[in-house]
Amino acid sequence: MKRRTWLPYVLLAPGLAWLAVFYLAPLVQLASVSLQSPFPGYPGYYYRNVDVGNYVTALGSFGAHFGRSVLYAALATVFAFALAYPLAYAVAFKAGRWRNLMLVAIMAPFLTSFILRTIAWRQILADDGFVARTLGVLHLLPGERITETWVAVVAGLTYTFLPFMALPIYAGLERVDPRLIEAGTDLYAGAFTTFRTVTLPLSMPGVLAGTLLTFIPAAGDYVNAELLGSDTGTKMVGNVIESQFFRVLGGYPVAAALSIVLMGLILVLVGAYVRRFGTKELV
Amino acid sequence: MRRNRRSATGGGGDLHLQALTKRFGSFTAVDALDLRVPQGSFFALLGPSGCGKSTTLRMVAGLETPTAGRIRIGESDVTASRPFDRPVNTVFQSYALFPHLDVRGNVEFGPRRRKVADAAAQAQAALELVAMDHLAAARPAQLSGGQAQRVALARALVNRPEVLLLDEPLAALDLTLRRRMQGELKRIQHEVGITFVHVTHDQEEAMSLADTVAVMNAGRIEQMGSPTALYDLPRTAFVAGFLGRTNLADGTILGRDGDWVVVQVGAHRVWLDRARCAEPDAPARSAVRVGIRPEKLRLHRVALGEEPPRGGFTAALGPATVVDISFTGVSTEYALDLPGIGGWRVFEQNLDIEDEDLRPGDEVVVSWDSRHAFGLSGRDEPASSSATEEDLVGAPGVIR
Amino acid sequence: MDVPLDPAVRALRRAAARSLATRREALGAGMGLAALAAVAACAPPPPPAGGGLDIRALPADVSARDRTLRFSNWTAYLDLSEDAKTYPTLAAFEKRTGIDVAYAEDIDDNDTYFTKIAPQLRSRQDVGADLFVFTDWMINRLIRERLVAPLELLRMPNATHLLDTMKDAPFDPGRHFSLAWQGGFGGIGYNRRKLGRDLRSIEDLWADDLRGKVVAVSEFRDTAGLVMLAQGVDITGSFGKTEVENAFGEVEKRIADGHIRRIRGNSYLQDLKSGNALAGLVWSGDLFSLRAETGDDSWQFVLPDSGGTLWTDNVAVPVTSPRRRNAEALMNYYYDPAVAAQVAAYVTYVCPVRGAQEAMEKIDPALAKSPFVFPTDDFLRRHARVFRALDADEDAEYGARWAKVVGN
Repeated sequence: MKRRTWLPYVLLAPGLAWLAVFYLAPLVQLASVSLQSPFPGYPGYYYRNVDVGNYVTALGSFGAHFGRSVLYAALATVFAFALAYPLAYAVAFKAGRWRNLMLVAIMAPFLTSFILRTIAWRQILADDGFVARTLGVLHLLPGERITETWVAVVAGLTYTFLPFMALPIYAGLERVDPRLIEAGTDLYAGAFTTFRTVTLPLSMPGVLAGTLLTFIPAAGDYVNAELLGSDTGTKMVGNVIESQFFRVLGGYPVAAALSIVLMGLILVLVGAYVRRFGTKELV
Repeated sequence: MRRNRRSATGGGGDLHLQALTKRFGSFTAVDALDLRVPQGSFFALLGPSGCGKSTTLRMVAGLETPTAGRIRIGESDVTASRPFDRPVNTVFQSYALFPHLDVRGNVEFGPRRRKVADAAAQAQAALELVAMDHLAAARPAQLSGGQAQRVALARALVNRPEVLLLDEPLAALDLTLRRRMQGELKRIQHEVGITFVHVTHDQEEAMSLADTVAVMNAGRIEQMGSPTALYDLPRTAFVAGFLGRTNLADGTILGRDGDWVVVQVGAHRVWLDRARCAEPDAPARSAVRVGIRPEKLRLHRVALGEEPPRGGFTAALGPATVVDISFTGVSTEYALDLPGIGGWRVFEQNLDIEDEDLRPGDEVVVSWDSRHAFGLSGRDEPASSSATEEDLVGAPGVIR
Repeated sequence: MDVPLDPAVRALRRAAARSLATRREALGAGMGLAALAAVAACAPPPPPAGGGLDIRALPADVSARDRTLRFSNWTAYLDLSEDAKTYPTLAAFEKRTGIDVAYAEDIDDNDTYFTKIAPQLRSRQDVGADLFVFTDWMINRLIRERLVAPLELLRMPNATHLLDTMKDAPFDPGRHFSLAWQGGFGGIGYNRRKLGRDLRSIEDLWADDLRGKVVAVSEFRDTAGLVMLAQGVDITGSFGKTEVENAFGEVEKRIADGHIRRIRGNSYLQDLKSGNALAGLVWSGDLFSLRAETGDDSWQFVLPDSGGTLWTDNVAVPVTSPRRRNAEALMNYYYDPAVAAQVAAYVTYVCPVRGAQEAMEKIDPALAKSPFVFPTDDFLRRHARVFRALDADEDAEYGARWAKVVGN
């Protein structure tokens, strides 16, 4: 049966070609740009070089932005988890015939542009809006407003990526055999103990996927900080990349270096996280 | 959280179900069930799927709330207790082992929740009991069906419950393994002395394992008793068909002859022991159904001039035509067509030295000792009419 | 100084523009991603060689046989029919010349659009447009880099209608590469009713009750330019790093103490609309749109006492276009005063075409009197200044510094 040994490679080829062209090539390009130098006297032009100065700039001048990216993304991930887990649990175990409707409702925001939705949030959270007034009356506002604060940015990130958290958790919970939960209660575990010792560990793959799908794009997001945040206090790495790439003449290599650093930072954090909470042994 | 903690020896008692009822909407799954399972017995609930046996089990486990009725274990009423408050443990169908815990973790789960001091030692003992201690570190996914079955048993037994519930525990195993596990179950039950309530649709499994078998149908217990009693004297056509095979013939009561009821079946007269009739006082002219097990019948070759012995209480029907013959080693099974009565089956033990002499199409007469026949209500419907194909695995049903 | 309004008619016209405005923002963020992906050139293109543009290197013109034209413009920058389905002046041009125009509103930001097309433009590959519109400072960059084709002014007799004040643009003296499409002012916008008073100077914006209620446009030539004017700097002249830094420092301080709520692109209008901001450094046309859209006459636009900024958006032909003559025909057409008046009646920015004011009398006599649409030379001399063209190094340096001011 030696005749068909080439077949797997033929089947793999389109996928590999796709990856090479649309993933690997841009990545290599990005890495090479991140090492280019500005052409002296010609802002906006570059020449090939190995210029680590871009990385020095990226790390030296934008540390606060990296810090905010990680912090806001982590906060959004925590809040999204806190909101999404009960939601996914309810859909998976309590929704009954409403289940499909609820799933559609969770996914419905995807039907409109998330930028438009974020702009809508700016109106909802406006100073004269219901939310800001109510919180103001209750003295729950840190300052005089919600928009242009980190609260709005984190809230926006949480909202934007909530479905990315809820759907994997739902998928994870939905795979949990209800008989295992029954077995837990049969074996002297109360409702909460069963949840803690059976349901939660079994839904960990979904939780892991959900947190990654939330944290990674949230750390790279710039739309929420742009539309809901302030000028100097809440901008994230994504905003700097956008600005360096589009608006700063000659900022392209720094933007590339920022992207590479962000990618590396996320990889390291995610790697540590998966190592700590990974559930490889799960079937 | 309140937990009932009790040892295997103290405070035990019978499992007692009183008028236990469960309705799902308009469907009555369990209908005013009364049942007493003596402490330490091996009890089987047998019936086709949908008969309410699993629902009954789940109510005892606390996983379903009864619509009405009471559940008592010894003196304590557990009807309203939560599952984790009951001295009851379950071996689930397809085991429901926790995939994220290893075998030891699974078995220790119960003791640890009960905050038992020597959980590890108890788990070890339970694993030894089921001969699974060598795989304590394995994950459920790495176990074979039989091994998983043993772990599930150990996980339940380690808690020393008053009552152990087994929900079709062997259904997922292949035939050989099932037979072996049946032996194991019996041994373990004998060793631990805990009340086992075993739910199954496999009549052979129920009969070979249990001290007492209750046959359930449509939410009610049709008949309960020792396997031999149930087999020898089924009280309903359902039980007759669900446990082993039965030949049935519809007849009319002609009258009484001492302790015997005389019945007209077609052109023949047969006799039923009054004590073996479901309705011993049924008046003349009323309908009755005569039942007789295939192995209790004898064949007489018309071509050889054989005739049933006359006199005594030998009953006979025939002539009948042989439709099919299947040789199974220990016995030969004949399918007969009795005109006006239906298809019957006869098992004849292979005692004869000479070759098989009957051929399909040959004519025979069947006879039996009337003491073996039993009488069922003429209005009674046999099991095969309601049971699905799956339910009849291992339960050959009725021949008419 | 108010632009007289006919709210009923305007509201209808602006209804379409409103949806476009939000789409514009969406496009902005969305195109960022698209553009990032589009940059695929392997080696960076070299900077232009010294000397002028070699016109022999331009692609051969096919206009005579190829009667098509691709025109990329900003949203809401061309008169739209009431049903928002056709552009009346453009349809008339097509009918008159037989040139089929593919009109695309795909520019929403100078930087984003330029970054998107720059790699192709620099390596002389087609950019999908034969005509595009950039703000003065960006067209300055393109001309500097020799990325736009020279115009054959002889083929465009109407080009002489260009306002005298715009003819000698600092970035394109003599207008050999570009014509003004529309112009506009940077100044102070505010809500008179909510504020209960009028604002006249930049200093007025820093009143205590406006803390956190002031927005500003993200274009530093306007925001910082207005501050520089208030600081007594001649933005048309030979200011340097010190003056710019002073203005940037002032803006930075106002951001830091929470006085300026946010510096934004076009979307600052929403902050005014939602009440998050009551005043700001804004663009004239935007504020008139806001007024038309909300039907609220209390929205005011003024040029500060110290002077406002005047900017132009300029139409030009990319060096890669083989349809220069078709493009020139279109530019010539839009410099017909009657046509220009039709456009001006819709976009309400500064109309760069002499004679259009007279034509406007027939369309909208009230608008014809507005100094913000038809400013007189005297008005411009007294109230407005054009930010001088920056050289390449200044452009890069101030841009980078401004990014820091706004938190990037």
